[in-house]
Parts: sequence; C-alpha cells; structure tokens
Amino acid sequence: MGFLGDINKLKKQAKEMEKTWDPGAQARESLEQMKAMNARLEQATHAMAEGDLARAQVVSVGPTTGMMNMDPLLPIELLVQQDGAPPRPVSITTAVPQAQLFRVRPGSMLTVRVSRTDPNAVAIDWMAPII
Amino acid sequence: MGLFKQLKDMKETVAAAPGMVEEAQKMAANAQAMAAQQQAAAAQYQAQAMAAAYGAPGATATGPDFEPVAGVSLELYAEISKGLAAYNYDQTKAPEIAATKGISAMAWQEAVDTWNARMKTNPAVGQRFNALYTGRA
Repeated sequence: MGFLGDINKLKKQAKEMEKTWDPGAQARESLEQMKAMNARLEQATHAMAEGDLARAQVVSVGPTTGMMNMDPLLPIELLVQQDGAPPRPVSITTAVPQAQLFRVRPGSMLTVRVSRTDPNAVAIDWMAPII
Repeated sequence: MGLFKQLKDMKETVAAAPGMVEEAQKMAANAQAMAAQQQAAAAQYQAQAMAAAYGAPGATATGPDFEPVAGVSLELYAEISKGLAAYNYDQTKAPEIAATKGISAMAWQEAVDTWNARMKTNPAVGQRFNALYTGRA
C-alpha cells in the first residue's frame, strides 16, 4: 500500500506539474525571441558595416535581458545626435562588453553608427572616440 | 537483490520528493524576492544617476541653455523633429515641416545648430528634448 500509494502520489505530482507546462508554447515563444534578437543583431551589423558616426546620449538603461558571449544584453534608450540634423530617440538592445559597462549610464555620451539606408539600424561603436 | 534494492531506492526517492518540491518552491520564492530587491536597487541607482546627470526629477528645465533659438523653443524643436519620422528621417523635409509652424529655413538651421550644440555641452537639454519628443514630459 505504501509503495503503490507513493507511485500514485508521484503520478499526481507529475499531472499537477504538467498542468501549466506547455513545451510547444515555450518553444514558439523562444523562437520569436530568437527571431527578434537576430533581426536586431543584423541591423547592428549592417550599421557597423556601412553606417555614419554620430553621437548618442544615454537616456536610460534597463535591466539585463540575457547574456551573449558572456556579455550582458541591455535595453538602452539613446538620443542620437547627427551633425546638421535634429536628434531622435532610438531604443536598442545590445550586448555590452563587460569592460564598457561603466560607460552605459544615463547622461553619458557614446559614439554610434547609424545606417545610411535604415535610420533605425543603430549600433554602438565601442572603439570609436567620442565625437 | 538488485530489484529489491531498486524498489527500496525508488520508495525512498518518492518519499523525499514532497520535501524536494517544497524546497524548490521556497528557492523559487527566494529567487523572486532577490530579483525584486535587485530590480529595486537598480531602479534606485538609475534614478540617482539620472538625478546626478539631469537634476532632480520634475525639476524645471531653466537657464540660458533652455532659451528659444531664433523663435524655436525646445518644445517646438522636438515637435518639428518628430515630424521627420513620417518621412523616414529625411532631413531635407525638415525646413518644409518647420515652415508649416511659421519657422523660416534660416531660422530652422540656426535652431538645429544651436540646440544641437547645447545638447553636446548640457545633457539636461538632451534629456528634456527626449522627454518632449517621446511625450514623457
């Protein structure tokens, strides 16, 4: 009785756990997140390859949303300032190198690259001097 | 011998399962509490950093850096700049949008140059512009 009762208890626990477990939905959600992340990475790569340099003021920084290559992924709101043009806010989520984390704080200035063909494609150029 | 040993191990494992589930739930609760504390600390740090950079929240944007340029206030500058989004940020459209607000092309150029120069030296101007642009002012 004790052993069978335990088996029954285990079965009930498994059923209880499965109630809120939907691996299909989790996989779909993960897939969408990966697609969005890849789209952002492609935009950033595009901007780094052919973009113009611009200044950007950090408006706000959100909490880490993940890690990539051991670097935290941070949502950052920037105010991009290009010469001869009015500034505009841009929101990006990007991997911030550990050694550069201290630079990402509200009010600080960074150098970014803005794609010539897609104004929403903005990437932080960590190696470029502040312009 | 092997079978009985396995059954005994299984029984003991099952017996320990409720306790493990309970501990796992406690651990999840602790992790949530720690995450909430860390988020609160991060929010406090962010608020302090923003206050250090821009002044206290709700502080009035005043001073010579906030004076209108060639008749273009910071509010109007943000409004016209925002209008460029409809043209995929095509800068050549800016004077046209400015003209609809009664700002000449020359005044607009002066406003762009001066406001941008102020933002370079005073982050509070950029912060205020961002708040106006995004409607969070």
